[in-house]
Amino acid sequence: MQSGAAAGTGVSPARLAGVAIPLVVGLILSVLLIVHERSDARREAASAVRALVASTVTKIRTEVRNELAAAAGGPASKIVSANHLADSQISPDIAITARDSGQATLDDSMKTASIVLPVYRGGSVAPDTAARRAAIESYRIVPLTLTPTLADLQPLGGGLAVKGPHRLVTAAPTPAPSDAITYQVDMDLTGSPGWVVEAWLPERGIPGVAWLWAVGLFALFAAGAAAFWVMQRREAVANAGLRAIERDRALVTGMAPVVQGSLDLGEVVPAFSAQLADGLHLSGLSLSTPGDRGEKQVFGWGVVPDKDVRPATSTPEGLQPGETLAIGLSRGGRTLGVLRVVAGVPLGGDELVALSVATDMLGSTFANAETFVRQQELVERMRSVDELKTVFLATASHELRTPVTAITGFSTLLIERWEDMGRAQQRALVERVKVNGHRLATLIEQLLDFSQLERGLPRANDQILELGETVRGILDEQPEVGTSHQLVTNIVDGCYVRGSTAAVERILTNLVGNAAKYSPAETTITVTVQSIGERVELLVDDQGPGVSVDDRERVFSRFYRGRGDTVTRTRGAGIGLAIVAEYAGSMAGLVSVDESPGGGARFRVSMPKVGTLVNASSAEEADVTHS
Amino acid sequence: MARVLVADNDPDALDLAVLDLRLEGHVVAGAPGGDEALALIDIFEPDVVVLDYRMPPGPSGLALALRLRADRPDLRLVIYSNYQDVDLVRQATTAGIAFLPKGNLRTLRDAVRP
Repeated sequence: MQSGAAAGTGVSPARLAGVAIPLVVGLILSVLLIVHERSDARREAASAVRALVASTVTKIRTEVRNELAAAAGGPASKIVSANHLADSQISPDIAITARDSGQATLDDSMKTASIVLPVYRGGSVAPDTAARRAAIESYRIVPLTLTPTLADLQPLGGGLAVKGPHRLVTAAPTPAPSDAITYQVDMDLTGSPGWVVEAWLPERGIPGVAWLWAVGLFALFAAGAAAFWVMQRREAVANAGLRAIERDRALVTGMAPVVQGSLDLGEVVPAFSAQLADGLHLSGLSLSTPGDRGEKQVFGWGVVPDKDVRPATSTPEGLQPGETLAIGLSRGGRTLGVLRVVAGVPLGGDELVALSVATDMLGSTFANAETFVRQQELVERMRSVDELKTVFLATASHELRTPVTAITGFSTLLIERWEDMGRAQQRALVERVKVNGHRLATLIEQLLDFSQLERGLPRANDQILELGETVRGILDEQPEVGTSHQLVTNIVDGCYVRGSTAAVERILTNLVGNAAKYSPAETTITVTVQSIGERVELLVDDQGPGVSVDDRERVFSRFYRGRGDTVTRTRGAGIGLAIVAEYAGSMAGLVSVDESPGGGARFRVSMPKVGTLVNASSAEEADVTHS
Repeated sequence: MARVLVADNDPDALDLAVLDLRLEGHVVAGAPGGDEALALIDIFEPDVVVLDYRMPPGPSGLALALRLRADRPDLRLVIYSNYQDVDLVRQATTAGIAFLPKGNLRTLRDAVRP
């Protein structure tokens, strides 16, 4: 998901047209305005030039006429004989026109524009053309001096010119530039057609106001276009924001079925992570749960997040690519885990809120899963208790009945047949009753232990015991333990362990009872207490058949009775060694069985050693060692 | 009086049954397991065979009784056991084998009496 700003960059044709049309219209209108102003200026200039011509042409014509009139009396610059006309610079046409008309005629073909005046023999002008041709004697050439007149009349900024039929005659101050506005008027001179007065004015530029108007007009439309653009952009950003919110909402709603789909975190967490990473374009994430030794990562994907980032108390404004954000999963003030994400694209506040909501949902799933697991464990425990009870009832009912049957049977026999039996036989039967009574008592003791195990053993009281002393005490108090065998003790003093006398009693009684049960009468059972490194060991060796390698681990399981002839010939519910293991565990002890050096089985309970005389350091241990 | 063969892997139960039935006046032989009982049958020629149900590691008393029922139809057979499973009892009685609960000497005496 892109951030809101980045999402609105797409330009639609409609939006482009919305901006381009006002700009183009503004430009066209501005150009039209300029063109209009320009033609207006030209029209005005033309009008001014016409007015100029109108105001000057009469004066110039009068001046020309005056000069023409004065040509006869004034000084001639040159006199050309009619016979030598061909050698002169006078244009033949002008000469003919002057001769035939008998009038002064303007000539622009010479270097200097001049007046050509025919001079006839006899001094007068003949009345007809033929006579004039015959009487022609010479031509007077008088220079035309219009320049001062034009200089007087010349307009400000513009100019005046007089042009003959062939060329420019004179101009003040200069001839018209090529881009000037010009206007010509024929001077209407008799005998000198094609002579014109030309006025010119420079082309007037487009007025500054017009430019201002044009620029203003364009600016107005450009401002409109800009306003439209800004509006469109705002709308696009707003739409992008809405779309982002919609995506975030979709992310959150899409997450619901994922987190509610299963209570198995092994299924939920990867699915949740995939959806989250996809929805927010994350580049990595990890999920950790609190453990005894700090956090433990239970899931990770992609770029490894920075572990040092702690869950923030509030959602930050944004997250840049590569940055890590940690969010705590908690329920009821208890931290269930920490989700860390590494952003792949810039994430905005909305996205982080969505992330937070999604994480909250995962937190709920965590809590539910935890409850579910607890309930499952409870159900499992109840089921296993139920199964244990079934096995136990089948075994124990038989095992309980056996000594009871023997006791009631022997005692019934004694009562009914007392008279038929000798004293020795009577005594033997009473002995059998006693043995079975004892067996029953042992079994009941084990059943009580078993029920204790089912409820869970209390931790052994943190008492410090001198193990050798404890073992001696137990054996002294229970002289019936191992009476059918030779009981030998091999005890090293000064071995201290943490535990309870009751636990040692259950361990020792069961191990010695077990040894007595599985080894032949009158053989030796050895009870050893020794110190091995940092541990204290309680060993019980017998001279029975031993425990096969295959059975050595399983004999400590509840109801497991091992295999082999001796096992099948003896009785038991299969809980004695399980009791030993449980009580040893309550003292942080480990149980094992292997082969005794003298054959038979060696059962070993290894417990951590606590303070001795040498290294007693705590007050408690010092008290014990001094007592 | 009858010739009775008793088989039980529990020494107390075996001794008790043997002693009681002897005091009743029967000629009694004891076997500590099923296989030993089978070995004694041909030698001892019993009228009645009393079998415990569970005698590991050998075959169960019921399996033994069913075999004997086929081989020796005239032999009286009694299962004398602490196991009191309804299905086992039905299976035994269907085959004409008495299935008695252990502990009641009187029912055993009645079952053995000719």
